Amino acid sequence: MILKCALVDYGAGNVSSVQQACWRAGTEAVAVSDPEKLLEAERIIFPGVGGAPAAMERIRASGLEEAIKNAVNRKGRPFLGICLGMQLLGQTHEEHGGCSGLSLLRGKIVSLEKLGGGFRIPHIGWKEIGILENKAEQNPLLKIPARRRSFYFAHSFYFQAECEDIVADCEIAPGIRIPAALHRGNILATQFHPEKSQEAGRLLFQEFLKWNPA
Amino acid sequence: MESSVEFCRIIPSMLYRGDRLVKGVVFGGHRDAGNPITTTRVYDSQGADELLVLRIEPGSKPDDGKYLEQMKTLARECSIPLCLGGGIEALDDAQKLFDCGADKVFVSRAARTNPALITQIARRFGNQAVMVGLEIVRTNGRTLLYDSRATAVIPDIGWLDHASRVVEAGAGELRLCSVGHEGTGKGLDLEAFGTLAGHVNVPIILEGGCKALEHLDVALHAGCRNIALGSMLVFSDHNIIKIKAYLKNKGHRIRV
Repeated sequence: MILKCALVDYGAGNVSSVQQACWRAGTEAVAVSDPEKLLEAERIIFPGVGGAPAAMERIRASGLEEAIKNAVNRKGRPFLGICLGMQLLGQTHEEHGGCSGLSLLRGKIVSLEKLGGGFRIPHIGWKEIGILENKAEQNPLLKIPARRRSFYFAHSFYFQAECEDIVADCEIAPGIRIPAALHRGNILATQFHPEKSQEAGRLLFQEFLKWNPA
Repeated sequence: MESSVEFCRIIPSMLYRGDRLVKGVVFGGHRDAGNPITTTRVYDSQGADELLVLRIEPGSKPDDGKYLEQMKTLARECSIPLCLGGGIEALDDAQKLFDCGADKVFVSRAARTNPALITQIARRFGNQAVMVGLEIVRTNGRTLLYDSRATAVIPDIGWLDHASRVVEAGAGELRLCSVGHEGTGKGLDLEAFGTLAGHVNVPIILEGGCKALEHLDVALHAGCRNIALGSMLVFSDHNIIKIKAYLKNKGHRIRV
Protein backbone atom coordinates (compact mmCIF):
# COMPACT_ATOMS: atom_id res chain seq x y z
CA MET A 1 0.00 0.00 0.00
CA ILE A 2 1.32 3.44 -0.88
CA LEU A 3 1.34 5.89 1.99
CA LYS A 4 0.51 9.29 0.55
CA CYS A 5 1.34 11.33 3.60
CA ALA A 6 2.91 10.36 6.93
CA LEU A 7 2.73 12.38 10.13
CA VAL A 8 5.77 11.76 12.29
CA ASP A 9 4.36 10.59 15.62
CA TYR A 10 6.96 10.80 18.38
CA GLY A 11 4.64 11.57 21.27
CA ALA A 12 5.13 15.35 21.25
CA GLY A 13 2.51 16.55 19.02
CA ASN A 14 -0.74 17.74 17.91
CA VAL A 15 -0.84 14.83 15.47
CA SER A 16 -4.62 14.64 15.51
CA SER A 17 -5.05 18.36 14.64
CA VAL A 18 -2.68 18.02 11.70
CA GLN A 19 -4.42 14.83 10.60
CA GLN A 20 -7.73 16.65 10.69
CA ALA A 21 -6.28 19.58 8.72
CA CYS A 22 -4.97 17.22 6.01
CA TRP A 23 -8.36 15.61 5.82
CA ARG A 24 -9.96 19.02 5.30
CA ALA A 25 -7.44 19.58 2.52
CA GLY A 26 -8.51 16.31 0.90
CA THR A 27 -5.83 13.82 1.95
CA GLU A 28 -5.78 11.08 4.52
CA ALA A 29 -2.53 11.41 6.47
CA VAL A 30 -1.38 8.55 8.68
CA ALA A 31 0.41 8.88 12.01
CA VAL A 32 3.68 6.92 11.80
CA SER A 33 6.07 6.08 14.62
CA ASP A 34 7.88 3.19 12.88
CA PRO A 35 11.06 4.38 11.09
CA GLU A 36 10.73 1.71 8.37
CA LYS A 37 7.23 2.79 7.56
CA LEU A 38 8.23 6.46 7.41
CA LEU A 39 10.52 5.65 4.50
CA GLU A 40 7.57 4.32 2.50
CA ALA A 41 5.67 7.61 2.65
CA GLU A 42 5.41 9.80 -0.45
CA ARG A 43 5.54 12.94 1.69
CA ILE A 44 6.06 13.69 5.37
CA ILE A 45 4.71 16.18 7.89
CA PHE A 46 6.69 16.72 11.08
CA PRO A 47 4.50 18.40 13.73
CA GLY A 48 5.45 19.22 17.27
CA VAL A 49 4.73 21.13 20.42
CA GLY A 50 6.46 21.16 23.78
CA GLY A 51 10.04 21.03 24.99
CA ALA A 52 12.83 20.55 22.42
CA PRO A 53 15.29 18.38 24.41
CA ALA A 54 12.60 15.86 25.43
CA ALA A 55 11.35 15.72 21.85
CA MET A 56 14.85 15.14 20.41
CA GLU A 57 15.46 12.42 22.96
CA ARG A 58 12.34 10.57 21.83
CA ILE A 59 13.22 11.02 18.15
CA ARG A 60 16.70 9.60 18.74
CA ALA A 61 15.57 6.74 20.97
CA SER A 62 12.94 5.63 18.46
CA GLY A 63 15.26 5.53 15.45
CA LEU A 64 13.26 8.24 13.72
CA GLU A 65 16.28 10.55 13.37
CA GLU A 66 17.93 8.36 10.72
CA ALA A 67 14.61 7.70 9.00
CA ILE A 68 13.80 11.41 8.74
CA LYS A 69 17.27 12.21 7.39
CA ASN A 70 17.07 9.39 4.85
CA ALA A 71 13.63 10.40 3.69
CA VAL A 72 14.69 14.03 3.27
CA ASN A 73 18.24 13.68 1.96
CA ARG A 74 18.37 10.42 0.05
CA LYS A 75 14.79 9.97 -1.06
CA GLY A 76 14.06 13.68 -1.53
CA ARG A 77 10.55 13.40 -0.12
CA PRO A 78 8.54 16.64 0.26
CA PHE A 79 8.76 17.48 3.94
CA LEU A 80 6.83 19.96 6.08
CA GLY A 81 8.02 20.87 9.60
CA ILE A 82 5.55 22.72 11.82
CA CYS A 83 6.46 24.87 14.87
CA LEU A 84 8.66 22.65 17.07
CA GLY A 85 8.92 20.43 14.00
CA MET A 86 10.51 23.40 12.22
CA GLN A 87 12.83 24.24 15.10
CA LEU A 88 14.11 20.66 15.44
CA LEU A 89 15.39 20.84 11.85
CA GLY A 90 18.02 23.35 12.98
CA GLN A 91 21.47 22.71 14.45
CA THR A 92 21.03 23.66 18.10
CA HIS A 93 18.15 24.59 20.38
CA GLU A 94 18.74 26.46 23.63
CA GLU A 95 15.56 25.44 25.50
CA HIS A 96 15.82 23.75 28.96
CA GLY A 97 19.61 23.47 28.98
CA GLY A 98 19.89 22.99 25.23
CA CYS A 99 20.16 20.15 22.71
CA SER A 100 21.37 19.51 19.21
CA GLY A 101 18.81 19.26 16.40
CA LEU A 102 18.54 17.26 13.18
CA SER A 103 20.77 19.75 11.31
CA LEU A 104 18.74 19.50 8.11
CA LEU A 105 18.70 23.31 7.98
CA ARG A 106 21.43 25.66 9.11
CA GLY A 107 20.85 27.91 12.07
CA LYS A 108 20.26 27.90 15.79
CA ILE A 109 17.09 28.28 17.77
CA VAL A 110 17.18 30.91 20.51
CA SER A 111 14.81 32.56 22.94
CA LEU A 112 12.62 35.44 21.74
CA GLU A 113 13.96 37.34 24.76
CA LYS A 114 17.16 37.87 22.72
CA LEU A 115 15.24 40.29 20.49
CA GLY A 116 15.07 42.87 23.20
CA GLY A 117 11.50 43.63 24.10
CA GLY A 118 8.41 45.52 23.19
CA PHE A 119 6.31 42.39 22.88
CA ARG A 120 4.91 39.70 25.13
CA ILE A 121 6.44 36.23 25.43
CA PRO A 122 5.29 33.62 24.49
CA HIS A 123 4.41 35.08 21.12
CA ILE A 124 0.80 33.90 20.84
CA GLY A 125 -1.74 35.01 18.30
CA TRP A 126 -2.55 35.63 14.67
CA LYS A 127 -0.13 37.42 12.36
CA GLU A 128 -0.07 38.29 8.73
CA ILE A 129 3.09 36.86 7.22
CA GLY A 130 5.17 38.62 4.61
CA ILE A 131 6.09 36.32 1.76
CA LEU A 132 9.43 37.02 0.12
CA GLU A 133 8.50 36.71 -3.52
CA ASN A 134 11.96 37.16 -4.98
CA LYS A 135 12.97 33.57 -4.30
CA ALA A 136 13.81 31.66 -7.46
CA GLU A 137 12.40 28.31 -6.36
CA GLN A 138 8.72 27.56 -6.08
CA ASN A 139 7.26 26.73 -2.70
CA PRO A 140 3.66 26.12 -1.59
CA LEU A 141 3.40 29.45 0.28
CA LEU A 142 3.68 31.41 -2.96
CA LYS A 143 0.36 29.95 -4.09
CA ILE A 144 -1.56 31.42 -1.17
CA PRO A 145 -3.44 34.61 -2.12
CA ALA A 146 -2.37 37.77 -0.32
CA ARG A 147 -5.64 38.19 1.58
CA ARG A 148 -5.27 34.69 3.08
CA ARG A 149 -1.89 35.01 4.75
CA SER A 150 -2.84 35.25 8.42
CA PHE A 151 -1.63 32.37 10.55
CA TYR A 152 -1.64 31.38 14.21
CA PHE A 153 1.67 31.52 16.11
CA ALA A 154 2.43 30.13 19.60
CA HIS A 155 6.11 29.95 20.55
CA SER A 156 8.85 31.27 22.85
CA PHE A 157 11.89 30.51 20.65
CA TYR A 158 12.72 31.44 17.09
CA PHE A 159 14.90 30.14 14.28
CA GLN A 160 17.96 32.26 13.47
CA ALA A 161 18.08 30.97 9.93
CA GLU A 162 20.25 31.49 6.87
CA CYS A 163 18.86 34.42 4.90
CA GLU A 164 18.58 32.39 1.73
CA ASP A 165 16.28 29.85 3.44
CA ILE A 166 13.77 32.41 4.71
CA VAL A 167 10.73 32.53 2.43
CA ALA A 168 8.33 34.33 4.79
CA ASP A 169 8.65 36.48 7.86
CA CYS A 170 6.43 38.17 10.38
CA GLU A 171 6.61 41.35 12.40
CA ILE A 172 6.61 40.42 16.05
CA ALA A 173 6.77 44.03 17.22
CA PRO A 174 7.06 47.25 15.23
CA GLY A 175 10.30 46.95 13.25
CA ILE A 176 11.26 43.50 14.57
CA ARG A 177 10.83 40.63 12.13
CA ILE A 178 11.37 36.93 12.67
CA PRO A 179 11.38 34.06 10.15
CA ALA A 180 7.87 32.64 9.70
CA ALA A 181 8.73 30.01 7.09
CA LEU A 182 11.88 28.40 5.70
CA HIS A 183 12.44 26.56 2.46
CA ARG A 184 15.39 24.60 1.18
CA GLY A 185 15.02 22.02 -1.60
CA ASN A 186 12.31 19.59 -0.55
CA ILE A 187 11.96 21.02 2.97
CA LEU A 188 9.31 23.57 3.90
CA ALA A 189 9.05 24.60 7.54
CA THR A 190 6.66 26.97 9.29
CA GLN A 191 6.94 28.62 12.69
CA PHE A 192 3.17 29.10 12.68
CA HIS A 193 0.49 26.42 12.97
CA PRO A 194 -1.28 25.96 9.62
CA GLU A 195 -3.44 23.24 11.20
CA LYS A 196 -4.90 25.91 13.51
CA SER A 197 -5.17 28.66 10.92
CA GLN A 198 -8.55 28.00 9.32
CA GLU A 199 -8.79 28.71 5.59
CA ALA A 200 -5.21 29.98 5.25
CA GLY A 201 -3.97 26.72 6.76
CA ARG A 202 -6.20 24.60 4.59
CA LEU A 203 -4.78 26.28 1.49
CA LEU A 204 -1.23 25.66 2.65
CA PHE A 205 -1.85 21.94 3.28
CA GLN A 206 -3.56 21.67 -0.09
CA GLU A 207 -0.53 23.20 -1.81
CA PHE A 208 1.96 21.15 0.20
CA LEU A 209 0.09 17.93 -0.54
CA LYS A 210 0.58 18.44 -4.29
CA TRP A 211 4.03 20.06 -4.12
CA ASN A 212 6.74 18.58 -6.32
CA PRO A 213 9.98 20.29 -5.34
CA ALA A 214 12.59 20.32 -8.05
CA MET B 1 4.34 48.06 25.36
CA GLU B 2 1.71 46.47 23.12
CA SER B 3 2.63 45.90 19.50
CA SER B 4 0.32 47.29 16.90
CA VAL B 5 1.11 44.47 14.51
CA GLU B 6 -0.87 41.86 16.40
CA PHE B 7 -4.41 40.95 15.41
CA CYS B 8 -6.81 41.16 18.33
CA ARG B 9 -8.14 37.79 19.40
CA ILE B 10 -11.88 37.39 19.90
CA ILE B 11 -12.35 34.22 21.92
CA PRO B 12 -15.73 32.64 22.65
CA SER B 13 -15.72 31.30 26.19
CA MET B 14 -17.98 28.31 26.64
CA LEU B 15 -19.00 26.78 29.96
CA TYR B 16 -19.73 23.08 29.87
CA ARG B 17 -21.87 21.15 32.29
CA GLY B 18 -23.65 17.81 31.93
CA ASP B 19 -22.88 17.52 28.19
CA ARG B 20 -24.43 20.93 27.46
CA LEU B 21 -23.21 24.51 27.41
CA VAL B 22 -24.43 26.83 30.13
CA LYS B 23 -24.00 30.49 30.89
CA GLY B 24 -24.52 32.35 34.10
CA VAL B 25 -24.34 35.64 35.90
CA VAL B 26 -21.57 36.37 38.42
CA PHE B 27 -20.50 32.69 38.49
CA GLY B 28 -23.98 31.45 39.27
CA GLY B 29 -27.56 31.15 37.97
CA HIS B 30 -26.63 29.00 34.98
CA ARG B 31 -28.97 28.64 32.04
CA ASP B 32 -28.78 26.24 29.10
CA ALA B 33 -26.72 27.74 26.29
CA GLY B 34 -26.76 25.07 23.62
CA ASN B 35 -25.01 22.03 22.22
CA PRO B 36 -21.20 22.21 22.48
CA ILE B 37 -20.43 20.61 19.13
CA THR B 38 -22.80 22.62 16.96
CA THR B 39 -21.85 25.79 18.83
CA THR B 40 -18.17 25.11 18.14
CA ARG B 41 -18.95 24.65 14.46
CA VAL B 42 -20.77 27.99 14.39
CA TYR B 43 -18.01 29.93 16.19
CA ASP B 44 -15.35 28.37 13.97
CA SER B 45 -17.23 29.23 10.77
CA GLN B 46 -17.91 32.78 11.95
CA GLY B 47 -14.17 33.43 12.29
CA ALA B 48 -13.52 33.16 16.03
CA ASP B 49 -9.78 33.39 16.67
CA GLU B 50 -9.66 30.73 19.37
CA LEU B 51 -12.02 28.78 21.65
CA LEU B 52 -12.07 28.34 25.40
CA VAL B 53 -14.19 25.50 26.80
CA LEU B 54 -14.34 25.17 30.58
CA ARG B 55 -16.07 22.38 32.41
CA ILE B 56 -17.79 23.71 35.52
CA GLU B 57 -19.38 20.54 36.88
CA PRO B 58 -18.95 20.71 40.66
CA GLY B 59 -16.22 18.30 41.76
CA SER B 60 -15.60 17.02 38.22
CA LYS B 61 -12.22 15.87 36.96
CA PRO B 62 -11.23 15.39 33.33
CA ASP B 63 -11.49 11.62 33.61
CA ASP B 64 -14.94 10.53 32.52
CA GLY B 65 -15.17 8.89 29.15
CA LYS B 66 -18.28 10.64 27.95
CA TYR B 67 -16.84 14.10 28.56
CA LEU B 68 -13.53 13.21 26.92
CA GLU B 69 -15.31 11.69 23.90
CA GLN B 70 -17.31 14.88 23.49
CA MET B 71 -14.18 17.05 23.72
CA LYS B 72 -12.53 14.86 21.08
CA THR B 73 -15.47 15.43 18.73
CA LEU B 74 -15.41 19.13 19.54
CA ALA B 75 -11.67 19.35 18.77
CA ARG B 76 -12.26 17.75 15.38
CA GLU B 77 -14.73 20.53 14.53
CA CYS B 78 -12.23 23.19 15.49
CA SER B 79 -9.80 24.62 12.91
CA ILE B 80 -8.63 27.28 15.38
CA PRO B 81 -6.70 26.96 18.66
CA LEU B 82 -8.62 25.19 21.40
CA CYS B 83 -8.14 25.59 25.13
CA LEU B 84 -9.80 23.05 27.46
CA GLY B 85 -10.01 23.10 31.23
CA GLY B 86 -11.99 22.62 34.37
CA GLY B 87 -10.92 20.54 37.34
CA ILE B 88 -7.33 19.87 36.25
CA GLU B 89 -5.38 18.76 39.33
CA ALA B 90 -2.59 16.60 37.95
CA LEU B 91 -0.34 16.30 34.89
CA ASP B 92 -2.31 13.25 33.84
CA ASP B 93 -5.55 15.28 33.75
CA ALA B 94 -3.86 17.77 31.40
CA GLN B 95 -2.46 14.93 29.28
CA LYS B 96 -5.99 13.56 28.76
CA LEU B 97 -7.19 16.91 27.45
CA PHE B 98 -4.19 17.27 25.12
CA ASP B 99 -4.92 13.73 23.90
CA CYS B 100 -8.44 14.91 23.00
CA GLY B 101 -6.91 17.56 20.74
CA ALA B 102 -6.54 20.58 23.05
CA ASP B 103 -3.78 23.00 22.06
CA LYS B 104 -3.64 24.43 25.55
CA VAL B 105 -5.15 23.75 28.94
CA PHE B 106 -6.71 26.12 31.43
CA VAL B 107 -5.75 25.80 35.09
CA SER B 108 -7.07 28.03 37.82
CA ARG B 109 -7.59 26.52 41.26
CA ALA B 110 -4.66 24.07 41.06
CA ALA B 111 -2.35 26.92 40.02
CA ARG B 112 -2.93 28.27 43.51
CA THR B 113 -2.87 25.06 45.50
CA ASN B 114 -0.09 23.37 43.52
CA PRO B 115 2.02 25.78 41.38
CA ALA B 116 4.45 22.93 40.61
CA LEU B 117 1.74 21.50 38.35
CA ILE B 118 2.09 24.52 36.06
CA THR B 119 5.80 23.79 35.71
CA GLN B 120 5.14 20.12 34.97
CA ILE B 121 2.62 20.90 32.23
CA ALA B 122 4.85 23.64 30.77
CA ARG B 123 7.86 21.29 30.69
CA ARG B 124 5.97 18.63 28.78
CA PHE B 125 3.83 20.77 26.46
CA GLY B 126 5.55 24.16 26.48
CA ASN B 127 4.62 27.44 28.20
CA GLN B 128 2.37 28.40 25.29
CA ALA B 129 0.15 25.45 26.20
CA VAL B 130 -0.67 26.59 29.74
CA MET B 131 -3.27 29.26 30.42
CA VAL B 132 -3.81 30.19 34.03
CA GLY B 133 -7.13 31.65 35.11
CA LEU B 134 -7.16 34.57 37.53
CA GLU B 135 -10.62 35.22 38.94
CA ILE B 136 -10.78 38.36 41.02
CA VAL B 137 -13.34 40.32 43.00
CA ARG B 138 -13.06 44.01 43.79
CA THR B 139 -14.42 44.99 47.14
CA ASN B 140 -13.95 48.12 49.26
CA GLY B 141 -11.09 49.31 47.08
CA ARG B 142 -9.28 45.97 47.38
CA THR B 143 -8.76 43.34 44.70
CA LEU B 144 -8.90 39.74 45.89
CA LEU B 145 -8.55 36.36 44.24
CA TYR B 146 -11.79 34.42 44.01
CA ASP B 147 -12.36 30.66 43.94
CA SER B 148 -15.19 30.08 41.50
CA ARG B 149 -15.79 26.46 42.54
CA ALA B 150 -15.88 27.23 46.25
CA THR B 151 -17.59 30.58 45.54
CA ALA B 152 -15.35 32.25 48.12
CA VAL B 153 -12.67 34.91 48.17
CA ILE B 154 -9.07 33.95 48.92
CA PRO B 155 -8.00 36.63 51.38
CA ASP B 156 -4.45 35.47 52.06
CA ILE B 157 -2.85 35.46 48.57
CA GLY B 158 -2.15 38.75 46.78
CA TRP B 159 -3.49 38.54 43.24
CA LEU B 160 -0.48 40.19 41.60
CA ASP B 161 1.96 38.05 43.60
CA HIS B 162 0.00 35.03 42.47
CA ALA B 163 0.17 36.23 38.84
CA SER B 164 3.96 36.63 39.05
CA ARG B 165 4.31 33.23 40.67
CA VAL B 166 2.38 31.34 37.98
CA VAL B 167 4.21 33.13 35.17
CA GLU B 168 7.49 32.24 36.87
CA ALA B 169 6.25 28.63 37.10
CA GLY B 170 5.61 28.52 33.35
CA ALA B 171 2.16 29.91 32.55
CA GLY B 172 2.26 31.22 28.97
CA GLU B 173 -1.01 33.16 29.14
CA LEU B 174 -3.30 34.58 31.81
CA ARG B 175 -7.07 34.76 31.56
CA LEU B 176 -8.28 37.56 33.83
CA CYS B 177 -11.93 37.48 34.83
CA SER B 178 -13.31 40.12 37.13
CA VAL B 179 -16.16 38.32 38.85
CA GLY B 180 -18.21 41.40 39.66
CA HIS B 181 -18.31 42.11 35.93
CA GLU B 182 -19.07 38.60 34.67
CA GLY B 183 -22.43 38.30 32.90
CA THR B 184 -23.49 41.76 34.07
CA GLY B 185 -22.86 43.63 30.85
CA LYS B 186 -21.31 46.65 32.51
CA GLY B 187 -18.12 46.49 30.48
CA LEU B 188 -14.72 44.86 30.99
CA ASP B 189 -12.60 45.58 34.06
CA LEU B 190 -9.97 47.68 32.31
CA GLU B 191 -8.46 48.97 35.52
CA ALA B 192 -7.55 45.47 36.71
CA PHE B 193 -6.36 44.66 33.18
CA GLY B 194 -4.06 47.69 33.14
CA THR B 195 -2.58 46.76 36.49
CA LEU B 196 -1.93 43.18 35.44
CA ALA B 197 -0.58 44.16 32.01
CA GLY B 198 2.02 46.35 33.67
CA HIS B 199 2.95 43.58 36.09
CA VAL B 200 3.59 40.55 33.83
CA ASN B 201 4.91 40.12 30.28
CA VAL B 202 2.80 37.20 29.03
CA PRO B 203 -0.30 37.66 26.86
CA ILE B 204 -3.48 38.42 28.82
CA ILE B 205 -7.02 37.46 27.86
CA LEU B 206 -9.67 39.62 29.48
CA GLU B 207 -13.15 38.30 30.17
CA GLY B 208 -16.29 39.39 31.92
CA GLY B 209 -18.85 42.12 31.43
CA CYS B 210 -19.00 42.73 27.67
CA LYS B 211 -22.49 43.44 26.46
CA ALA B 212 -22.37 46.30 23.99
CA LEU B 213 -20.06 46.57 20.98
CA GLU B 214 -18.66 49.78 22.46
CA HIS B 215 -17.26 47.78 25.39
CA LEU B 216 -14.92 45.97 23.01
CA ASP B 217 -13.91 49.15 21.23
CA VAL B 218 -13.03 50.81 24.55
CA ALA B 219 -11.09 47.76 25.73
CA LEU B 220 -8.99 47.57 22.55
CA HIS B 221 -8.24 51.29 22.84
CA ALA B 222 -7.07 50.62 26.40
CA GLY B 223 -4.42 48.21 25.07
CA CYS B 224 -6.25 44.95 25.62
CA ARG B 225 -5.51 42.62 22.68
CA ASN B 226 -7.44 39.48 23.59
CA ILE B 227 -11.05 39.37 24.70
CA ALA B 228 -13.06 36.34 25.76
CA LEU B 229 -16.81 36.57 25.29
CA GLY B 230 -19.47 34.52 27.06
CA SER B 231 -22.97 35.94 27.50
CA MET B 232 -22.57 38.44 24.69
CA LEU B 233 -22.49 35.61 22.15
CA VAL B 234 -25.15 33.54 23.86
CA PHE B 235 -27.98 35.74 25.05
CA SER B 236 -27.97 38.55 22.51
CA ASP B 237 -28.27 39.11 18.80
CA HIS B 238 -24.54 39.76 18.51
CA ASN B 239 -22.33 37.30 16.70
CA ILE B 240 -18.65 37.09 15.84
CA ILE B 241 -19.04 38.27 12.25
CA LYS B 242 -20.90 41.37 13.38
CA ILE B 243 -18.50 42.06 16.25
CA LYS B 244 -15.43 41.75 14.05
CA ALA B 245 -16.91 43.90 11.30
CA TYR B 246 -17.72 46.58 13.87
CA LEU B 247 -14.20 46.54 15.36
CA LYS B 248 -12.54 46.59 11.95
CA ASN B 249 -14.66 49.59 11.04
CA LYS B 250 -13.42 51.26 14.19
CA GLY B 251 -9.89 50.88 12.89
CA HIS B 252 -8.71 47.99 15.06
CA ARG B 253 -6.52 45.22 13.71
CA ILE B 254 -8.96 42.37 13.22
CA ARG B 255 -8.56 39.15 11.30
CA VAL B 256 -11.54 38.61 9.02
